[in-house]
Amino acid sequence: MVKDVFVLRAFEAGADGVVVLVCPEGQCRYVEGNIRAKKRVAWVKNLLDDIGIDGRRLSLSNIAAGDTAAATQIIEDTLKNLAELGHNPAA
Amino acid sequence: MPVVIFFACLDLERKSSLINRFEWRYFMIVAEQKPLSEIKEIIAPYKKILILGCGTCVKTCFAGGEDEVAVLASALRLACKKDGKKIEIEELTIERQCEDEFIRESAPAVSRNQGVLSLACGAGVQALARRYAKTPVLPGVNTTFIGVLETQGVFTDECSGCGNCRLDIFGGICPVTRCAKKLLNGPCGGSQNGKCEINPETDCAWQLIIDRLKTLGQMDNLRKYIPPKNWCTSLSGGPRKLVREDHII
Repeated sequence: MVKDVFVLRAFEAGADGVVVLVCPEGQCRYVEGNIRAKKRVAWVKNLLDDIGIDGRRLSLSNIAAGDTAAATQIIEDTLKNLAELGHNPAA
Repeated sequence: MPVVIFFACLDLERKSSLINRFEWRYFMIVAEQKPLSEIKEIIAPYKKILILGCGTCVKTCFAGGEDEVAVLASALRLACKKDGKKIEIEELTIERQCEDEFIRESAPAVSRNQGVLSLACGAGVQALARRYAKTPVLPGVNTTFIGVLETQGVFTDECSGCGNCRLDIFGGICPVTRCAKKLLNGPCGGSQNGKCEINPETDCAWQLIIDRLKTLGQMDNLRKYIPPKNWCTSLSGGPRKLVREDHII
């Protein structure tokens, strides 16, 4: 289970961004796991705003298992967004 | 540019499923964590701080258990680093902060730090302050009410600790806490469709009382006149104390 703190610790470790990838809604092996992940990520994004390092550094995407093309696109988009945001100011 | 990717398969919240299945309810002191900006101000004078969690009530309401201690510590480290401030944060969670037997376990960690940010209820904060007279003990949560866990993530106010419980008359539903007007002799007449006129999202306590008394066949309870409440047993009578001589050695 991805706890909130693991995401924060990634930023503590110097990450400029964090991407959480979950299965498409309705296809989670754990029924509602990806719904919970979505809510948890939204909560952490707000916390990142409160911290002052910008919640846009954290994102969640739904992708099907094995869809490497979608994963590649998500990572490319993330890197593009991070280029605008700059480095993690708490790194 | 470093990027971390999590592939998240979240397990079901076991507690949630158990509650839904068996309609379990937990009674507890309910609290919520203070905003990060307020906590930053509170700890600003200190360079070494212990964040001390409590593993009982505040853990269940996601305000001050081990997980919340870890998240707050991480958030404060990030915020301080971003602001260019140096701070050392130690994390610890004990079973209960309202009992000295458990508080003692925190003594070594407390001695290593300049202050303690307690994520326990107000009673826990004060119990710590009593034991560690020379260490500042700071509140990290706002204690809100004595309540129940309705369903995962939803907590409701159920008891005001008035010191003179008459739930026997009211079918197990407390008008002192759950009626916005604290009426003891029937509804105010302002409720509509079973909802309170003060807040339409709140059930009218008197509607609930009447429904429950009907179910119990105890509607005659409502014929009894309830005299004005003597608030001396509540906080209006000053700080309260409970003494059980049979437990004192």
